Amino acid sequence: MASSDRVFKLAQLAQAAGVSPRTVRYYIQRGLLPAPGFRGADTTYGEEHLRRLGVIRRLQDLFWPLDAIGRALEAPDPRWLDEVLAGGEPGPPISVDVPDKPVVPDNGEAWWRLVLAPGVELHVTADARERHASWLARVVALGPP
Amino acid sequence: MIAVEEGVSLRVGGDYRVPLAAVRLGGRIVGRWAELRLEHDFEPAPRGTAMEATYVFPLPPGAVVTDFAFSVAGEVTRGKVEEREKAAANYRKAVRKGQKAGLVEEARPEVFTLVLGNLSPEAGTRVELTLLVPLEPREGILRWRIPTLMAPRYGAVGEGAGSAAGVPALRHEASVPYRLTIDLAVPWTRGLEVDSPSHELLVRREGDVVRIGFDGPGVPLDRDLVLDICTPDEPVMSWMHAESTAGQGVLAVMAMPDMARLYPETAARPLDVVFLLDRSGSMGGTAISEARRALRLCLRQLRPGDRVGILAFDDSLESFAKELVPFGQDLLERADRWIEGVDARGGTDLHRALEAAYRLAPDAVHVLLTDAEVWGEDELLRLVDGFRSGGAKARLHAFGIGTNVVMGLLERLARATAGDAVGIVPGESIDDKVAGQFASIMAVRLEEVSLVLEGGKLAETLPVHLPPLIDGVPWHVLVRFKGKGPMVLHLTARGEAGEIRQAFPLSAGDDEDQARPDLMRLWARERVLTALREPLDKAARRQWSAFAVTHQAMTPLTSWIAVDRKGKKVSGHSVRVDVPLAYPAEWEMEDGNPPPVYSALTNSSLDVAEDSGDVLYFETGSVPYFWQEPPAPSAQAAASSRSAADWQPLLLRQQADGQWGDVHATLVALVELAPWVETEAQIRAAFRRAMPGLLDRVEAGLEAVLSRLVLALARTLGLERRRVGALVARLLPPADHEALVRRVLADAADPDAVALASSLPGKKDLGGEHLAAPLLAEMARFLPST
Repeated sequence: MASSDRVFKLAQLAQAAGVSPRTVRYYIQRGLLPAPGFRGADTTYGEEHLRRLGVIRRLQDLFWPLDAIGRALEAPDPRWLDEVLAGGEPGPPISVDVPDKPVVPDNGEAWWRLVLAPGVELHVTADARERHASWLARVVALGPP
Repeated sequence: MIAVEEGVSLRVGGDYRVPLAAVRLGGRIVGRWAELRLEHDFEPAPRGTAMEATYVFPLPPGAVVTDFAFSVAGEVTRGKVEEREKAAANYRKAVRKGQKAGLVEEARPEVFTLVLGNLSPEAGTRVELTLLVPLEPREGILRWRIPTLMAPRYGAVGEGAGSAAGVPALRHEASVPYRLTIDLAVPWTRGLEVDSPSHELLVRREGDVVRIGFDGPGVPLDRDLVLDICTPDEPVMSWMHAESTAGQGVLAVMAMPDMARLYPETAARPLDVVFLLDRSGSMGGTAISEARRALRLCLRQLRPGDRVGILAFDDSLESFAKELVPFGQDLLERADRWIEGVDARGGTDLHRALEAAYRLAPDAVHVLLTDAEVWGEDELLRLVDGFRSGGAKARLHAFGIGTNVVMGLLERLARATAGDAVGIVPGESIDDKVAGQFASIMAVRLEEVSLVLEGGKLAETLPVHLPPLIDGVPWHVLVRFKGKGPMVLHLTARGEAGEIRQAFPLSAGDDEDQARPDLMRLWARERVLTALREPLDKAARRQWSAFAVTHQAMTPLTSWIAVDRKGKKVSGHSVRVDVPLAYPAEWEMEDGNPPPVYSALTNSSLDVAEDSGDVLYFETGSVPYFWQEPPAPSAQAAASSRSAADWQPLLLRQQADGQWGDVHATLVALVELAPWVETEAQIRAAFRRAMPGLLDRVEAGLEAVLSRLVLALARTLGLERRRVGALVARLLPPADHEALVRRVLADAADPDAVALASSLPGKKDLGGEHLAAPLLAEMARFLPST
């Protein structure tokens, strides 16, 4: 596709997306946009940056937390991106609440209760949290236990 | 004459036309500077009057007035900078002699007053101010916010220069006749784009410049003019300008540090953030809902591990929680609900809110969402300075929200705390502004900054302590130096994240923009403002004002004055007209008046009651403007030529107790209504409702004020004493007749006053013998012996 070959300079990208160059750089720092291919005066940005800027704006309109937007953009399903860009309903953001300590019921086994979204919880044992750390990190950005 | 004393004219209202006809802003943008020409056109004075016009107006933050002149029919009178009290006294002296004169004072930071005495009756008067304004482009985008209106503000005016010439209470009206036009030129470059989120612009290229004007005739001065000038090809870089005379000079250094390579790979450390949401009356309408939205978006920039406090303030303070709350989904949901419950009301006690934020978290990031329509700017800066010298490290990051924002105050507060200030214009995309502000909050900062001048000697910097370098935030410093020939300025900045070095080669003469004579004035002004941050004794003030005069720099200690000593003198009875100001654009009006939500905003006078030579002016609030000269040709003709629309709004504001607020407000209202008192039954009814309460509330010492009401009535009725007497009899309940006469008239010495007194009901019990001499002496001057 010809359009996906388009390249932009920072100012052009910012203008096309309706944001300031500073915002673009901020989103790169926050991990919402991939770092551009080159550095210095010849730094260029691609169509993917523009698409993502559109998705970020749409999700901010829905008051998604920035980190949740970042997680959603880590390994995005292209169809989901298109839907969001077209104004579709993206579903609730994956939450960020990690409690200070696990819940320990009577039987003694400690469970972490993670609220993913209002009404959606994920329960993980301390053992599973350690064993599946990287997988969990991808799901809810728990980070290493 | 309506002078109370020689050379003193009183304020008038009502029947004089607004003398300001038009406001024009012209000029060009050269590099990082705007050279502007601000023109005010005044109407010729009515024949037979010595008219004085006053006007209060804002200038863009950082602007220095480099010239002042007025002209009548091509005859130009140039001004000069003099010490403030001396300028006021000289102005007053010239006016007394009948000379045309003008005076510009800096009454508050960025708030200026113009007094123009003896307006020519033959032709219009044009007042011209020349300005130099430093600009702050960021990454090729210049967002330039030019205030056009002195909006009503909250609180006590506080310390500060005020006006030595006694400039007026601010008066806002639903519509004013004068408008603003602009003609700004920007050098053309490839890809240049000019846009405005506040106004419809007409942008056209003419050769190598692009001219910016309004699409259509002038616009009302009711909102900030916001210009976005983009030059996308311009790289991120640094600039400086120099002036060198006799081996001395001033450099204005501006750096746009690009520190992308210094960002750590790991996540930044957790933040504590306290949000301060201005919920005052002036935020009513779109501003409060945009502020709420901005705050909700701000909260979503945070990460697990960050902690949050939220304060909503008007003249009271509400806190979301007693302590900082850890960030999480739960917090977002609770905070959203709380924020949605915040609506606009009350006054803007920013002082108290900042104090509370410092107490809650002295080292946090303070994010302020406000229009900053408050007085007491110096006190706010001093508060922040005080906390900082006590060790608090909080940074202030401000969002200026609304159509009229006191950006200058927000920028000064941000600069004082090494924070940042951005404006949001109604309708703009808020997510981008929030992202930009959080980019500043989370930006790499290098705290240890030093400057070395190779080939010259660095004498002084302003600010004295070099501010930290923050990625993506313009950094500017004024440097006074000694030396000649080529020099290099080396900037080194160090911090936890690393170090950057930058060199600015200075080769004087090869760039015309580097020779900028007005830079010296800009530096002198900044130097004085820096000195004024500390309390000064009289000797120090004198020293600094002499310094400012030497550099011909306008400051709170010095004013521009121009006196036409050669032109034709003006004579006639003195009147003073305060040019009314428009209400801010976003205010929701009801029947041409602001609804009660705005009532906490004060239209304070800018006067300071202090000794200003032979100039006698009213102390703040002691007497409202309301003198009404005998209108020409007659009061009734004037009244009949005006419609109910002129008085209806005022009538609607009468309260249930018959008053219009305090005694002064009520007297002003009654005098405004006086021209229709004979012809309109509604107005007579309003008077009757007002009088009993007014008499109850008139305290000792205010008899003179009340007597002026009667005199004003007398004048609108053409001074027919019998009619005055009859009218007062109709307006007042009989029980109050005697009280009125007692209060209006005391000892008699003057036949005119006695004659007037004798026309009032209730006179028979008092006779003339108790009339107060001072009052009567005053009355005698007002009443021609016809």
